[in-house]
This record gives sequence, structure tokens and C-alpha cells, in this order.
Amino acid sequence: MKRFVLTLGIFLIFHSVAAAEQTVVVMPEENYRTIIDQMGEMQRRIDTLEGQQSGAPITAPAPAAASTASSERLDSLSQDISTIYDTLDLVETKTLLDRLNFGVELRTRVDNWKVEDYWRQTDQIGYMTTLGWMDAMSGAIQEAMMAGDTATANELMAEMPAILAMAGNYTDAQLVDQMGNPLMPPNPASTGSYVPAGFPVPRLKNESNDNSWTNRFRMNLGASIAKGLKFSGRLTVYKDWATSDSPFAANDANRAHVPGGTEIKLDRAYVDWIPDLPFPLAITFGRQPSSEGPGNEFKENKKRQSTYPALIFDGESDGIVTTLGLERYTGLKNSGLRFYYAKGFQSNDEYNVFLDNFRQDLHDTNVYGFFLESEIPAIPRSLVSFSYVRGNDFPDMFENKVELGDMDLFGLHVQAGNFMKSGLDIFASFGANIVRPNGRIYEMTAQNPMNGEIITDPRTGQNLEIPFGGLFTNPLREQDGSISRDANGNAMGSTDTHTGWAFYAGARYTLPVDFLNKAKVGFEVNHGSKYWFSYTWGSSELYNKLATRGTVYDVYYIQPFGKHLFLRTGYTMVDYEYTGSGVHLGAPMESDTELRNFYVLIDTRF
Amino acid sequence: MKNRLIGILASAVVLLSTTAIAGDSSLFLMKCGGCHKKGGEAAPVNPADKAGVVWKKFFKRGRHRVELSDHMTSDDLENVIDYLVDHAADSDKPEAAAIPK
Repeated sequence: MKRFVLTLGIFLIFHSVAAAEQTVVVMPEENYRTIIDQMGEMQRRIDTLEGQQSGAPITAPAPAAASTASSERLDSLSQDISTIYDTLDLVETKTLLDRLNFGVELRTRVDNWKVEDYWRQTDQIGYMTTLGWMDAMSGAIQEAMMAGDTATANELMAEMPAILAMAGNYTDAQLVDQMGNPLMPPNPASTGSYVPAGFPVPRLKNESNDNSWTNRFRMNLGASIAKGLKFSGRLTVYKDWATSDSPFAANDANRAHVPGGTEIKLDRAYVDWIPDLPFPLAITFGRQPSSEGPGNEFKENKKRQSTYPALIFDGESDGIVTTLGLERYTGLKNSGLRFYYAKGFQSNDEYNVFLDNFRQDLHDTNVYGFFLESEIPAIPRSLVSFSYVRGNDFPDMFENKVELGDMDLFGLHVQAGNFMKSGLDIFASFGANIVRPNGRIYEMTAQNPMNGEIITDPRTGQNLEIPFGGLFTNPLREQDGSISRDANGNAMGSTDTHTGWAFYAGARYTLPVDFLNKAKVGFEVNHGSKYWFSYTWGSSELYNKLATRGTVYDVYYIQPFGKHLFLRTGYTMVDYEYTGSGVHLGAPMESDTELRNFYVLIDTRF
Repeated sequence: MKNRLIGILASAVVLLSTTAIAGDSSLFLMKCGGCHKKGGEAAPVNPADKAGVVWKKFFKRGRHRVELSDHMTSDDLENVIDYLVDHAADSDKPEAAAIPK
């Protein structure tokens, strides 16, 4: 007690002195006397207390001091809690307003590739255009000569050398007419249709690039909207360095997967809705997670990225998936039966999208799929998936002006991550397709390969149309070499059904070496038959690897640098045994084309 | 050549047999699921309840209410933490149309 009072006194004196150093307090004498008296009284009480302390312990004042201290402490804690609540209110409000979670991926990649005996698609188009053009010109010349219009015939013949020279840019074959007369140099003696010696005989090329650089930026979006309602999305910018050209091969299924301009593309945006029903049902609508699926994730160093095995469906697609959960009934973990509905092509008018008056005879390409999948019992991180996809009324995909036929696709996929805790990830996929062409042939509106001008048919004055190809069929020809046509004048091809198949298998091993930070080595192989075709336009590679009609060997090494950054380097060898990989137009032909690619990429995600 | 092949195969077998990669749910379910379940001694735990770094801090600060050393070895605990981090709120997630349970 004495210590307390002394401390209080020193405290008051200190403050008085401190105050006196700064200001002089003036007060009435009466007040001053009162204070002095009070201090005297306090001193007396102190003396009394000190006297009592020597006799009996003083207990009364102590609880009062402790009570004061506890009260102050409680006030302080209460204030702290109030402050924390205020802060939490702000954080909670901000969290509720932050409806979207963002993630970013950035990949820079350099490829060193070489392709041999390759038939460029632009060359193919140029080749077929010039041949068709010569065919039309020769027909017009004959008609003019038959009509005795020598002036017109001579005028048309004067244009032939330039067209022949143009054709020579796309083929090494000796061009002859139906009588076998050589067309190079232009031979006035030749008559009839200008038919190449063999069909088609393109000029094969070797091309290479020792450093082809690309950047790929992805923004991942996610939101748990409410119970049973979740949104996911991904925006992408994928481009070659220093160029923003839109690629010829880009379509709605791969726009975010082939390098193009700096514009943002909608890769995926979908909602999973699990309504409160007595049975487990999920409805997923929007632009689907349908690219880079199993077992592509091992090479991509990611978790599963798509609903569908990559060999069957690897591309961007708008659609609706209805999934019935089966785990409740079968006991099989993560098992479900899915029904998928999408459109491979929707026929509408380019200028008035709600109208369909431009191509009223063209149906939409409706795609239906059934998928049954489950984790394999006793094998964690595994997946088995059965697929069936039906695609009706395939269009030509160039100008979308003719329906070509239908296709059925079947698939079986099996995979296991960290198989038997060995560090080994393995997968195997099998696919088979049955193609039913309706015999129709896509006739391409001919453009001058040199300047892009629309070519006019000299016989009709209309745009010249070159028979290009049907569903896995070429235009049929009559005995005189002319294109077979139906009663309506449509070019016709074969209606023979074709069956193709493919497999895709691979393994990845996580090296048990700590200082390599879970580095991984992997190997993949895939093979496609002559008539193999599936929906794999949205490949994460620069080329459509899983569409290959031939064999692909692919080795890679993944070196992580922490959680958010990794490097991958690899080598891929593609042996194309048939032409037209990934293209449904035209009959496949034997090919000697080979592609070799060495690449390095660095990828960051956060 | 034959001996070299045998050597490579033998090395591969040794590597495979000595490697154990953490992260499977089985250990988590076995070690934690006994208490953390509906109606259990503790509330159910979803790895996605917290971000990876928060899970690490949670165990580093000893915030688990029950002493874990009585229930699992330090290696097991490390594997459980790895699993929680691998499946944490900010971890990579599989992307596919949902399969309801």
C-alpha cells in the first residue's frame, strides 16, 4: 500500500514539475489552501496506514486496485474484440462481394521443328484450284470451238499458260490431258478435260523452324455461387511472338488452342448445377470443360482438365451435360453416367444470327454422347471411362454449304495416378470411329491462288466451284474424266462406310530424388489408322497429335521449381502414314510425311 | 547388352519399390476420419476448407486441439499435411462436369 501511495505521489509530483516547467498555474489562495489541507490529510492517512501495516495485513485496498486493473483489462479486450469484429465485417463483406476467384497461367514455349515430305493445305487448295480452273477453261475452249467462235477460243487459250504455270507451283507431276498429251508446256494439240496423272499429286515440301516462339496466357475463373451451384471459366490469349495473324485452321472448337492474335478468347465458361432432388443429378451448361482431358494431364502437369478422354474429344465446345451420380447406388467411387448434347455446327445467317435463310437446306451438326465413368475399385486416383458419341450431318467446315454424312465414335479409357504408390502414372485409351458418307462432295468456291480473286467459270459466268472432297471420299469421275454428278448437278463421291481406330497410351514417373523437386519423366505413344478421325481440334500441342493417321512417339521431362513454376522439355516424332489427319474431307492417301519437334516450355500458375 | 538391360530393369524395380509418394486420401481417411466425421468426436474436415499455407501454419502453430503424436507418427502427419495442402482451397483442382454423390 505504501508503495502504491508513494508511486502515486511521485507520479503527481513528476507531472506537476513537468507542468511547472512549461506553464505557471495561477489559482485563488482559498483553493490553494484547500489542496494543501487535502494533501496533509492524505499524508495523515498514509501514516495511519503505515502504522496499521506493521500490525495487521492490509487487505481492503488491494482488491479494489486489482478490480480496477481487471476492469481496465476487460475494457481493453472488449475494445480489441470490437475492433476485430469491425475488421471481420469488412473482410466478410469483401469476400462476399469477391464472387470470382482468379487464377493465372502463363506459358512461354519455343519449338524447333522439321517436317519432311509435307503437303501444305494451302498448296493442296492451290493445286486443286488450278486443276479445276484448267478443266473449266478447256471445256470452255472446246465449247467455243464447237460453236465456231474462234475469237473466244483464242482469247481463252491465251490465258492458259498463266494458269498452267500456276499449277506448276503446286505439283511436280507431269500434267497431261485425258489423251495423255503433256500440258507443260501448253500443248495446243491437247483436248478434253485436263486430268492430272493420278489424283491428286501434290508437290511435297520440307520445312523447318529452329525457334518458333509462342506465349499463352490463361485466366482461370471460379465461383461457388451457392449450395449446388458453381461457376468455372477460362479466358485465353495464345499467340506467336511478334505476330497476331489469325490461323487458317482456327474454328470454334480450337480458337483458344491455336496461336492467333492478342484478343481474348473464351476457352470455357460453365456452371455445374446440382439441384436438390431425391436422386443425384448434375447439369453442366455453357462452354464445356472439354479440352486436354485424360490422360493429357500427366504431360501437362495438372489435374484432370476435361470431362472426356482426350483421344475421343479434345476441343472447345458449347453444350449441356447431364450427369447421374452412381456412387450412391453402385458403391463405385466417383461413378457417373453422363449424357452430352452439343452442336458441331449451327446453321445460321452470318448477318442476322437469328435467321436461317441463307442455307435453309443445311442441318445443324448435332452431337450426342454417352459417357460412363468411375474410379477403379481399390486403385486410388484411377479412372475408367466408356464413351459413345454420335455426330450427325457433318458440314464441310470450309464454307459450310453441304452436309456430308454422319459418324459414330466409341472409346475406352483407363488410367491410374501414382499406381500402387510407385510414383508411376499410367494411362491407355482406345477409340474407334465408323463414318457413313452420304456421297455429297464439298465444292469449293475457287479463288485465284495468287491474288485471292474469285474465279469465274467461263462457261456459265458464275463463280467457279471446284469439287474438293466428301466425308472420307474424293469426287468420283466418269470414264471421260469428268466429275460424277447427280441429277441436280451436285458432285458426288463414294458412300462406302469406313471404320477407323486409334490408341493412345503413356506413362509418367516421378523421380524419387529430393533435390530434383519431384521431377518427372514421361513417354507417350499414339497410333491412328487410315480412317481414324475424332474431335481433337483443340490439342494443347501446336499440331493435332491425337488425330494422327500414323504413329507418334513423345518423350518429355518436367522439372518443377517450387509449387508455381515448372519447365518441360520434350521431343516428339510423328510418322504420318496417311494424309488428312484431323480432316474429314477427302480420302486418305499413303504418306511419307514425318514431323520432328524438340521444344522447351516454362509454365507458371498461381 | 543383355546384362545392361537386366541392370536397367533391376534399377527400375528398386526405384519403384522404394518410392512412396504422399498425397493419397486413404491415409487421411484412416488417421483423421475416425474422429472427423458426421457425429464423430470432431467436425468433418474438408481439405478445401483452408488454403495450403494456412494448413501448414495450422499444424506448425500446434492448433490441432488434440495431441496428434498419440495418433500418428511424424511421417504420417507429414503425409497428411501434404494431402491437405495438395487438396487445399488454392490447389489445382480437377476440371470436369460435376458428378453428384
